[in-house]
Amino acid sequence: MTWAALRYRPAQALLLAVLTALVVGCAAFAPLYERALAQSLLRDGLSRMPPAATAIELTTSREQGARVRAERVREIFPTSLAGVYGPGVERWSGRVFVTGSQGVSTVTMWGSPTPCDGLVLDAGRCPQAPFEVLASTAEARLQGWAPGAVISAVEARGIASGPAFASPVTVVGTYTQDELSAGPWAGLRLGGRAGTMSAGLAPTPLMDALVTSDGTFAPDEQASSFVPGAPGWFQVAVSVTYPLNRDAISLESLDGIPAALSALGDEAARELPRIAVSSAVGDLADELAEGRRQVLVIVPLLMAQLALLGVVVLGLVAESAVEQRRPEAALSRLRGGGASGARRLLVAELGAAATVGAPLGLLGALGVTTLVRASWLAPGVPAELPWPTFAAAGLGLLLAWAAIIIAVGRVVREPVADLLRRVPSRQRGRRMGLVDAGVVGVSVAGVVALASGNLAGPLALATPALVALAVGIVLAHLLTPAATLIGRRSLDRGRLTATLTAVQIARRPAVRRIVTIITVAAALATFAVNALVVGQHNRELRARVETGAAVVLTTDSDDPAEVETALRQVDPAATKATPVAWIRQGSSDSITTMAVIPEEFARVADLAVDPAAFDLRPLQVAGTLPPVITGTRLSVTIGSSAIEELDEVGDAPQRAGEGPIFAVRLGKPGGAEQTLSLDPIPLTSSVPVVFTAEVDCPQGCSLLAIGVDRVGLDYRVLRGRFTITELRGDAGPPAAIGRPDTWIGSGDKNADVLAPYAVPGDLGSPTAVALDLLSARTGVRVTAKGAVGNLPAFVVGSLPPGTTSGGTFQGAGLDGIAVQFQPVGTLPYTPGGPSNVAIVSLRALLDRASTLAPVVGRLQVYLADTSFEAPVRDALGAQGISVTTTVRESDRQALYDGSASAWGLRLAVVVGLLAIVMAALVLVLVVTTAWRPRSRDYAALRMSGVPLAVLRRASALEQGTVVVVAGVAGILCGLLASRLALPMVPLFTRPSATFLADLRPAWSAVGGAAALVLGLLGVVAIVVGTRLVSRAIPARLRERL
Amino acid sequence: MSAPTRTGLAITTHGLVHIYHADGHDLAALSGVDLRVASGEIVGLLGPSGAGKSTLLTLCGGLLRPSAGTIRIGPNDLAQMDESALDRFRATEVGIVLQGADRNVLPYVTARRNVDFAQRGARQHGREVPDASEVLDLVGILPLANAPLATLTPGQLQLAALAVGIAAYPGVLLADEPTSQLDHAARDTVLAAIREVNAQVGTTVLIVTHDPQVAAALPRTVTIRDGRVGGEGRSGQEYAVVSADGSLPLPPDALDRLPPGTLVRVHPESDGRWIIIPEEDGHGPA
Repeated sequence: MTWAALRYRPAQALLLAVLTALVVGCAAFAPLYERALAQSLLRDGLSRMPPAATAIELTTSREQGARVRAERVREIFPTSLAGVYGPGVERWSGRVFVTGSQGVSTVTMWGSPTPCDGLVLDAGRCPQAPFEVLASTAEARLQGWAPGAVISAVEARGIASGPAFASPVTVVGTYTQDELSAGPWAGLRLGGRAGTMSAGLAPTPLMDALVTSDGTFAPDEQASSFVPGAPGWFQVAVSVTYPLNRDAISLESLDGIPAALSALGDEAARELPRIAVSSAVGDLADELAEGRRQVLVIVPLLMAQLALLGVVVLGLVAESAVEQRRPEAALSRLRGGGASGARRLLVAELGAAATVGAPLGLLGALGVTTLVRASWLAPGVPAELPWPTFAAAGLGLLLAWAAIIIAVGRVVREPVADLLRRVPSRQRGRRMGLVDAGVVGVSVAGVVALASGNLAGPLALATPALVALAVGIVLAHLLTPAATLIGRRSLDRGRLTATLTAVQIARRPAVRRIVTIITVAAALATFAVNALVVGQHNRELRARVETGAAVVLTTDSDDPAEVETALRQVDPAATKATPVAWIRQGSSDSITTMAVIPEEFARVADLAVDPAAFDLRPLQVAGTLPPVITGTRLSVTIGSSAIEELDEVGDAPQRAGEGPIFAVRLGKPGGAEQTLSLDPIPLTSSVPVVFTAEVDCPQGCSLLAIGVDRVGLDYRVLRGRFTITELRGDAGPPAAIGRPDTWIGSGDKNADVLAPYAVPGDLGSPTAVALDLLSARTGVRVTAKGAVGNLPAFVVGSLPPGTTSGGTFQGAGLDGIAVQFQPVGTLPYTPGGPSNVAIVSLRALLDRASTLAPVVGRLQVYLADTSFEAPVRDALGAQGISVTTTVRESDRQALYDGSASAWGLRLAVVVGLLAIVMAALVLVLVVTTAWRPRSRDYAALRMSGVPLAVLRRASALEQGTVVVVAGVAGILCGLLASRLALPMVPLFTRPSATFLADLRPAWSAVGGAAALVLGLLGVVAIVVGTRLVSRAIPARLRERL
Repeated sequence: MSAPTRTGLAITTHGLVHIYHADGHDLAALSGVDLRVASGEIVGLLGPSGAGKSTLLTLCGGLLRPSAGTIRIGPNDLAQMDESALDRFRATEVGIVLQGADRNVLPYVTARRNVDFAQRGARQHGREVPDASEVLDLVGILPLANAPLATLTPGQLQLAALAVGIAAYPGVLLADEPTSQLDHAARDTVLAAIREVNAQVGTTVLIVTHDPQVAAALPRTVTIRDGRVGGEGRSGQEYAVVSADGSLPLPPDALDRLPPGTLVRVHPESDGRWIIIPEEDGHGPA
């Protein structure tokens, strides 16, 4: 009987099967995709990490006199890792002094049982016997070593006393290290030092490493290290490197590695000599774990909502199907089957249709996963069927059955007499059912909790769909009375099409279902597309912010001038390349200095976020140097003064009649500062007064500030003006203090309240200046803009500890010596840098750098586009400058695009499309299941004389109006859901210290989604509406069975 | 298998009232119906539209609850029965044929399977039921037992509906307009089938009909008028029925002559007859 029932209504059965397949497919897809994504993260992570990074290296420390044994090192390697790690590769090392053509060098001698693996033998042979070595080809050429040359190698013992191991070694060949990742030298750079000098104040010549066999270090070759005169290494280290077996590593085995590494580290720390454990595979495991955690947020966020929509659609389709089967339920009750018999009859039929869909859904999920694996995940992801897939599919089927049972239950419990009615009684008014009211209540509670930050977990993830569901239900209930009212008014005005449209909307119970589903589908599509585009946008922005330019080259140069010279060879106009210097200070909370050429930086750097904020012109004022005095005696001429005493209210004047103390602050070469308090300035004087003081400025001191000081308990408020007509050292000209714009005042002279200030005044002379002041108990001063240390700086982040009350702070100069910075503004982020940065003018910093000290820190080149990279590299190379690292925006973005978050959000495309398809299906279904009675209605209207064209318009408008109203509501819900739920979506595997995510809606994407939703559903609505009318033939009125 | 021997159930109503709510008002579909149908009797219910015939039938089937009065089908007092008892009653004791043959059958299975379906409830309550073939043969459509219902003529479909109604050989058969929209031949066939069922199974039959020719073919008819029994017809004779409260509904032609409010004297004659003598002016004293 069930099969006969299914064949009687095949379209409905098929639709139920398809919808169940969608629900089951969504449920099953989540664990499938999560697993595939995890595999992809593993493969992508491994591809980005060189073998040396994923290997586990156990290294003994260089304990003095300790015997080291590789066997002991191997013994502590855990057997639990034996399956995923290959056999360990030994590597010995010791340091020796070798005298070369440029002097004595400290050279590392490396030994291995297979010393030539990973090396290209350019001449001679591979070392076999102890103390036979390979030298690098470049070093051998520099030193004139041919195969057979004997060189002296004395063990470099540092400050340890006693005889050093010294054994002549024989160069038996020369090598070039071609493949960094192969052999026992994986991760080591053996060469690249020949002909170079070490950095620092006393550079020494560097040499490439010597390579030998392990026999050179074998313990058997060592006599007791403490016996004077006996041969033997004093300090050697042995490391055993276990390479990761990348074919054997799996997600499960990777999960176990961090714990095994931790245990290994604990055991290694107990060894003597101590064994160090190093490996970056833990980072991979951490990153993978974080990625999987994020996937567990993103995938359910999208798929659960789609599944929820599917269940709602399935429920409403089941409701519609059950309504059609009221007569059959009535028959069952009529024949004494009771409500249970009627339930069994309907559930058997509808449940069977749903069950057929379950395996289809599972197959569909597998198919989509296969497609996804082939298209956007990392290559090599295996096809897997994790057991949660079946559990999820089962849950999906259960939900489908539950929807059917609920729909059936509501009908079969009705009185038999009601079931027998040809037309079910209609609920008048706006009463909402219990289930609908419950859904609205839960949704409102969920939104409030989510907005207040009190909601997390699975319910929070479903809130966007619940919001749309609630709005859809309320809108559906409001639409009927609104349409009734409009219909009545249109009828009064004689507008036939509008009347028919409104009345049809008001009288169809199916309208509520369509409105609810379209609202949810539109919301889901909008939310999904917005999340996808916002994610993409933020990944791009972060890549640009963190890189700072299209390409950033880090050089090995310590001379900004030579870097700039090289750049100007290929970019004379400085529009494509600019130098940037980075100098860090010692402590972790200190501020990093970023020195740029402001006008070039603004052109070349990629100012991805808030470019208008990067007006760096105030930095250029740094070109102004402070006034200078030279000599051993300072003299200051006060031309005139007019300062009044203002008592504090109620206090007797203290030190009445005494003026403030004239004070200066001087800056000496090397950065030291000195504050001098000279003599009291007369309160009122028109006669010049000269103050003198001893100073130590034979080479010149910078005049950092001038002002007044207060002495002792002096509560007077002093206000007025004095003039400085000359300020000079005895060995130099008068200081150029006359331009008021070269001084930074303090306070506000025009304030309504009595508050301290010091403001320079123009006297029309380059060497004279006036000072308007108000001093209350403490001194006030004006500071030289071009003062040494008061370098204008834009600050990113917070001001560092030690910032003065005037706002100045210390930062590092190019030579590492502290420089005083004066903040002139803040910037939202550092292009290509960390968050605690002071951006200053490179030229100004160069002016202040000592010529004795080398430039410390890092010199980079920012490039405006990638096509300029090769010419710049060539130009730098021509100046003898090497590029040590290269960072490209495209590479950084590719890194973020290959993250769990990016892959997770790509599901949004699938979700959005499926949501719209479901809504279209519902639209078609609801109309087609009731097409007979509806077309009979239209046939009756035709018989009554209503023109066919009017009927077509009314039918199309009926469907279209519902689509537009519900679609717009859904789109707005999608935007609200984005605002609520997007902050929960992890956009990156690792958070950024500098980049603040921009979660504003992607309006173009939202517009596109809206157009697609309204356009597609609108077309479907119009087509089904007009086709319905085409079946409205008079013969329809006589139809029975 | 031979048909199990059944005895029809008697139908008795006393002061049966049914009130329903519509358009904000309470309306009485039945205003006190006293009816007796003997076991195994065939009775037709006549009356104008809205008189309450279908309501009476529905009450007899246990599909509605009376607002007042009693209704007994055999030993079953329907007003006192709960829902599960009513389910059992509908499964075993009463068969209902709804107006419109298609409303009585599952459209996607054959007549045979429809009869099987209708017998399920009785089987679940432990009642012995006849073979579906026997039932179909009883109503005369055994050759069409496995034919798709959409291929049956209206009369054959009605017979199929009848077969479903008597599938468990109930004590009472309630049929609402079983011959409507049938041609004469089909109508006669259906009536003949009903009589055959009554004769073979002993089922008490209550038929609602508008068709005077159908009514004429039934041994007894009861006319329902304005929610009350307005008269009876037996062997071609029409009778007015004295109701429990002593009122006597007049036939329509008499009502025309003696409209409501007319004063009459009811005068017994010596031969046992009673005559009705209206007052000259037809109305009460001033």
